[in-house]
Formats: sequence, structure tokens, C-alpha cells
Amino acid sequence: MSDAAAMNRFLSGVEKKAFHIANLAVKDVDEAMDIVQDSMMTLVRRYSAKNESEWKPLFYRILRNRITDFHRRAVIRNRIMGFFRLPNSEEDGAGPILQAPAGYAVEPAFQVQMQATSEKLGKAIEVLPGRQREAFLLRVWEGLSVQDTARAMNCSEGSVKTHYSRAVHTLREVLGDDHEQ
Amino acid sequence: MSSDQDAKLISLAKQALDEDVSELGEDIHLRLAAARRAAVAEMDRPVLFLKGPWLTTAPAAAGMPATAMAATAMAASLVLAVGIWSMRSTVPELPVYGGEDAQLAAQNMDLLSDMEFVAWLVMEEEPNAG
Repeated sequence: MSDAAAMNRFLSGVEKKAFHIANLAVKDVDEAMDIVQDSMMTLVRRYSAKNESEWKPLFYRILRNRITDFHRRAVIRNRIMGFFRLPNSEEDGAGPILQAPAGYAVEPAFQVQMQATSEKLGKAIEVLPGRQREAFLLRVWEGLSVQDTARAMNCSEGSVKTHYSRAVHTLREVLGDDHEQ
Repeated sequence: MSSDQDAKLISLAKQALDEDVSELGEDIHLRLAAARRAAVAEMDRPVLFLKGPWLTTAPAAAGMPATAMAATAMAASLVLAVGIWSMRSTVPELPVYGGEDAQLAAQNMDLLSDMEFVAWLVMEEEPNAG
């Protein structure tokens, strides 16, 4: 298989998950799309010569850096815009995450309950702290090893285990008894 | 909590995430595919190190990286700028009078003094002329 074909296969395998991860982090479809596109380009330009087994942690590391850049720019933008915003405006206070409906309704039918649990879990993952969400998604969803997750997150393996453990603990608490049935 | 319960939690989480991804719109799929194709197309494209008539190209995996090339160009520019600055900042030499120039200046001063003396002499002698 040629390098281009291998890269195409790799990117097609991660693009949707990467987009969803970026969208969870930045809450903006267009920004998430730009982040994923930029990450793809950077991987190809800088690391396509690397071994294929290294692509996934490298790709998610690039993605993470792009998301971090986005948040840095947002902080600066908010500081600048803060000078022009009136105090006590309606935009202050709860953000879109807190304003989102909780979705805790209990349905009688099992299938519907499973659906509700799934939705609740999705929202719980969405509101996890950034590092915990990263560790959880990379370990559980992308199936990266602790070592590769640490490489992608640019932290120690111990930190990955801590973030992951806390994420699981939080999700257990959010779900309560739902997943024990 | 048992590992079975954790496994169930993880399974549910995967299911929730997969559902979220499956609900992505068709336009998202198309945009992602377009982004992927553009990225893959980059693999065969030669990397341009510099723009201009001295343009050089090389495959992405070989040769000097663009960043190293840019750094080298910047260093060369810096050396050139420092050189020009040091040349321009030297104090210009003041004219030194000496030799023939000094003699000429002295002669001119003597001539001027003589002319003043002659003019005074003429003024003094005029009243006695009549």
C-alpha cells in the first residue's frame, strides 16, 4: 500500500471521532472543522514519513494543540471584548453547557431508558473537565494505550491514569444507578 | 464498583459517542472527506523552500526543512544589516588642514592684512595731498 493510501485510510478512520472531540472542546462546528483540517495537514506535512503506528498519537497531539490554541485565542478575544461589554449583560453567567437541558427524564420502556442513559452519558462526557475528557476519549473511544495517550496529551502516564480514573468516577456519579441495572 | 460495572459504563459511553458521530450531518461528512483529500494530496506535492526567481524545490521528506532555510536567511539578513549599520555609524573624518592647504590659508591671511594696511595708509595720506 502506498503512503498516500495508508494516510488516507488512517485519516478516514479518525476524522469523525476527531471532529466530535474537537466539537466537544470548542462547541463550534466550523472551528472544529478547521481544527481537524489543520491537524490533518500538519500530520501529513510533518509526520507522514514517520511509522504508521505513530500517526495516531501524533495526530491527537496535534489536535489537542490546536484546541489549546483555540482556547488561548478565545481568552484573549474575550478579554478584549470585555472592555466593550456592559456589565450584568444577559450573556454573563451560565454558559451554554450549564444552560443546556439536563435530560434526566426517566422513561418506562427499557429501550427508551437506555437511550436516555446514553444521552445522559453523552452530556456527562461533554461537561467533564478538559483533561479528564481527553484521557477518557482517547483511552476508551480511540483505544489508545496509556503510553500513547500520554504522548498525545503531552503528559506523564501517571497523569493519564489519574485523569482517566477521575473521569470514570465522575461518570459513575452522574449516571448513578442507571448503568447498574 | 466492580470491573463488570466499569465495563458496562465504558460500553455505554462508547455507544453514546458512536451515536453522536452517526448523527453528524451529511455536510460534515463531505467537509471532512474534502479536508482529508486535501491533506493526502499534500503528500505528493513538492515543498517550496523559497519564493522568487531563485526558487528551489524538493520533496517533503528530503533536503533542508523550510524552517531551517528561513532561519538561515534571517541570520544572513541580520549579519548584513549589522554590517551596514556599523559602516554607517562610523564618525566621518573631519578635514585636516596641513601642508599646502595650511600655507595657502596663511598666505591669504597675510594678503588680507596687507590690503587693510594699504587702505589705511591711503586714507591717512589723502588729507595731506592737497
